[in-house]
Amino acid sequence: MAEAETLQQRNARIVLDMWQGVIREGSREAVLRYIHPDYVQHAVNLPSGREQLLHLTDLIRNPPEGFVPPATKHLVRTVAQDDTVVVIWQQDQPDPARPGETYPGHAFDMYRLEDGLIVEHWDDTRKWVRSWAEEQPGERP
Amino acid sequence: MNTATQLVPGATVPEGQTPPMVAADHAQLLASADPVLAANKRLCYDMYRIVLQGGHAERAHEFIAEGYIQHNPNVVSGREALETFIRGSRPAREVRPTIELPLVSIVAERDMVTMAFVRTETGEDGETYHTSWFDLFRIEDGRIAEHWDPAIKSAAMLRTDPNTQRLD
Repeated sequence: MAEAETLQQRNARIVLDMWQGVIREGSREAVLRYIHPDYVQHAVNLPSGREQLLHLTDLIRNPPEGFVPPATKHLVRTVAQDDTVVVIWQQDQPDPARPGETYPGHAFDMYRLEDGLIVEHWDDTRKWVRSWAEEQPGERP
Repeated sequence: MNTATQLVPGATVPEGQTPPMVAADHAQLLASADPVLAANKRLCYDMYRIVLQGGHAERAHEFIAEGYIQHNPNVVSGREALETFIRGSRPAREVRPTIELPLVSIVAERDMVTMAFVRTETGEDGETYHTSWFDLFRIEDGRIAEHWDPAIKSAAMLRTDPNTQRLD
């Protein structure tokens, strides 16, 4: 038998499972399974509300032309305490001195959970010219 | 049990915009039932307050290991490089009892501490907006031994005083 999961381990697992389902797979079902209906968004390219993440999964599955997809991030580690999980990722960034090349940088996401659901999110992203809320899913090829 | 840290608006913003939220109570952020986690949080908090906010490079040795590993792309590893960066980017100021930069959270687990801050940026349209900044610290033998942040390569960062990120 495996040892019982701690609250920190459980919360980190929920966050990483959400990331796999919502961001990597664009699954509406994953949004409904992991995201609280009263989801508060501090990231700058989406407003608050679970329906905004449903909209994002539609964009991920059917990206319109010019859509900036969520960055590809590789897990470095999680730091969890009480109801909060911080995820540290490695993310390649364009090198300003060497056009066309990248270097490994880091990115952070922070989540607060309530009743086993993700209810609040912060990240370090910069604002784009068009937010995800303004985009509409592309036509299926 | 609701352990959420109370967040309060950190600045006034035009009507219709969401204000950046900061922690109301730093003592609550620093508290932990685990004395090791409480000490690790206090170490990182005081380093930020005295060295980064206060600009006191000469006190970095109280908090930071000599062989400090730096993952920020603009600063090389080692405490000496950090001291040089501090001296080159901000004046030494009076040490204040609290962090006056817009702190959102302190999260600690095992040998790790993260701190989150409100960060003010300017968009391509010239409008300012608020996003988040994070630091991750690894603590070893009572000193900060390793650091990660989301900085991107930028020559300007080497001259940037974090006190420009105060709100209001």
